[in-house]
Amino acid sequence: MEQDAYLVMRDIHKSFSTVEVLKGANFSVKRGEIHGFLGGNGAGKSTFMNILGGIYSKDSGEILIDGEAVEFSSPMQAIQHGISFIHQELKLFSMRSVADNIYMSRLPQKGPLRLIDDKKKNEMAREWLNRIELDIDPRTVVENLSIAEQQMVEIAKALSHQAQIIIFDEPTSSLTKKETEILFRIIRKLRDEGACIIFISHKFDEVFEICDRVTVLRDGRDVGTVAIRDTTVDELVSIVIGVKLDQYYPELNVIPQEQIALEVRGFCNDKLKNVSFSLRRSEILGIFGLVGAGRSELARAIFGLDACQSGTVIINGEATRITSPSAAMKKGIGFLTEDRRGEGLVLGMDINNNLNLPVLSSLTVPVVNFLRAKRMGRNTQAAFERFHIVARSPNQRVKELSGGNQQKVVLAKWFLTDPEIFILDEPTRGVDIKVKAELYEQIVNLATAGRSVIVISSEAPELLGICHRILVMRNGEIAGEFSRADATEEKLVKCAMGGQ
Amino acid sequence: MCDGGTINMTKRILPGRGINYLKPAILLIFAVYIAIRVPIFFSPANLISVISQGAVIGVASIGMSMVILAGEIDISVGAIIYCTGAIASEIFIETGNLPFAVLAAIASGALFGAINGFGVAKLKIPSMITTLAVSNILSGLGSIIIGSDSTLAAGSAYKVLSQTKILGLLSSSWIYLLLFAVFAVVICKTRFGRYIYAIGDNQDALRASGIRVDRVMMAIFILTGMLCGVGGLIATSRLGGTQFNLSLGTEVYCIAAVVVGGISMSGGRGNIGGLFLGVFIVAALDNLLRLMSVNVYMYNVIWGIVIFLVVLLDVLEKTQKTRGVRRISLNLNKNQEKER
Repeated sequence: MEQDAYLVMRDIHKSFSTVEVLKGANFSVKRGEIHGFLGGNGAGKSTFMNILGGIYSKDSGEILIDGEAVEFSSPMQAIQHGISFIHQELKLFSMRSVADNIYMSRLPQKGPLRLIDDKKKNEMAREWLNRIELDIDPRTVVENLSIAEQQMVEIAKALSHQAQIIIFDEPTSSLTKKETEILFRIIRKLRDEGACIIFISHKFDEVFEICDRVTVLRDGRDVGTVAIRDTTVDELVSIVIGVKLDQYYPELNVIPQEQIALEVRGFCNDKLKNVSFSLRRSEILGIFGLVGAGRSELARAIFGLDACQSGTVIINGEATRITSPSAAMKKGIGFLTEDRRGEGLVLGMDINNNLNLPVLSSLTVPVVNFLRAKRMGRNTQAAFERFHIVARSPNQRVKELSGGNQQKVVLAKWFLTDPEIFILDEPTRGVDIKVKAELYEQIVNLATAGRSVIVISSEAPELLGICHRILVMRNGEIAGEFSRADATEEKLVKCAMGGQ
Repeated sequence: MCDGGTINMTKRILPGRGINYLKPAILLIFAVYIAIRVPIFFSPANLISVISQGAVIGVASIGMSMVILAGEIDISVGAIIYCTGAIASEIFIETGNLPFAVLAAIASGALFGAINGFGVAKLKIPSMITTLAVSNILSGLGSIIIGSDSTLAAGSAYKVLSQTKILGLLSSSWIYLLLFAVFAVVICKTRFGRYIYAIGDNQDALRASGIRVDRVMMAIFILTGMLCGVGGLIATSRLGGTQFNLSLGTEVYCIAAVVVGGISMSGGRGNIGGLFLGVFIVAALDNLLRLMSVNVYMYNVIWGIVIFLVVLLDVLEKTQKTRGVRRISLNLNKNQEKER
């Protein structure tokens, strides 16, 4: 396998303090191939790629590029070896121009005073933009571009550094379907020109669409490299999780009750146009739509995070006004944000404290307000068992957890408050397939226990799998409603995009 | 969660896009009011004196603008001016050598700036705290140098530095204008200048581009210290010596000048040309309050209110910008629809 490879990583080991994350992982990529890189949360995927990107240094093992052993200890040195890492959260200067972003590390200078040669910089930047068929002015300020365009700027930057190996970390997570198609076209073009593309993703349909080969990492080791045309989704899933998964979505036996738990009437603000719907007890309601369709904004408005110009909320038959998250929580509403790093967690705090944060007031000794550490510990213990959180100890800082485990902590945190109405915004984003299955089961359990759930997602299959009913949003309006029986992925996507 | 809250708050106070016109509108109303109430303000002689009175704030504001563009703050500016001014005066009294006094002020300014830079860039102490500590040290040190007499008289020979008239302007004004021109080019047109903006924008990305962010940060604080050294020279030379607490607190006016000039307190955003206007407005307001003989205590109250309002304006502009970004993501979907 290795003989015609351009990049070879052999027997890579890496530990953080006492935890061994990589236990001898191997990986190789040929020129002119798109190589998928899969693995569950905590498999060591990001650590492995960060070593290749020069962000971490390896403990042992070797990296060969074109047959030559290389060593680097910073992202810049990796770039000089022709490796560009396009991160999921883009690393751009949002207030600077596109050309500045591409050439920041080597701004061209002119004259004896060595002033920046802006003209030359813009011309050179334009050439790279042309190469990826991106028709934007290099003087455009990056924050005025869409996420998709910003990603293209990162690609242009990688090309300008003569990158031979380009790593894409979940590049489609915030792209629309159309933007994804454009991105894929460019990735294929780069491949055809002889670049090595490494494509990290959780989405199997995309992996099957674009990758030539796939390597799977599990528990710090590589457990298989397969050509896409020789494999199936089921086979790949079983390699990733290590066991065969019989049933992905849990059975939905619970029937929604007659009683209406939540009714929203005529919600309007600058993102929402007259949104009305109702939610019954024990019902799981899905909300589907493209990025920016107003799904999250609707949830934020219900939870009191964003203001509403008009509209009413009726909870258990009683009209209420919710102007702040604390008011919403008092009414029994829980909200899992899509932005778990920004709004869901206090990253520098440990798991124990994060979990108990929303229920702290019920955990204090009256009058003196001391915290009841034992009860907090019991809550945390229960959450660990219920959600299978993988961590060194409850006192580990959440910043150090893998994305999937962080998501479990946020979810566990809101489960502690035991809301009557639970709004989940992209609950499975960045979560591996095994944890997803666990989360789906937890959501169905909620409904069985008489709670009402709203699940917001851009993945149609998961809504089809666990929801009683699905609303589709488009441009701040509800564009369609589908019952479980007659919803299909095609109908949902069509409706979300505005097709007939 | 807090973020959502502020957006709601500001929306309630001031709706929509009018903010862009707010600053020019306030200025215009203010100017008309002054023209009627204090006509002497707009006389050429007075305007020239505004520029010369603004020289100390102006020189120090050049440094402050670099610090703020990089997303940090320097509240030791006033104390550096005070201390370097005392050092220069003392040396001039002892030796009578003017170049030597100038050199001493700028070199000691560089040293104080280096201490700030070391704390911020190497020891990673927040700039607010580092410069607060340095500010305390230097205001004490300055007073020790001045000694128990509470004044240092350096005589009229020392005044030559700032009070010589060249082409109708005082030399202090020329020093400020010259330094402004030089630094405008440095900030707009050199790699170093571009790195200052980039630090305030996304420090991690700059580090990943292979730039030594700590060195850039160090240089910013050292340059600010040196500029404050020049400020110290001008301030003391104007008086022909120094006195207790001279120029302490100047940083507040510098921050006001920088923000009025359109440079964002959160870093990375702003035009250096605006700073010139900012300095002029701050100096003009100072001049005006003196022309109207406002008493010292009221003077402080008014300045406090002005700075509060100016920074509020900056915050409002910022929230409007972030809302603008959200609007763009919505438009994207609309465009898609059109294509279909």
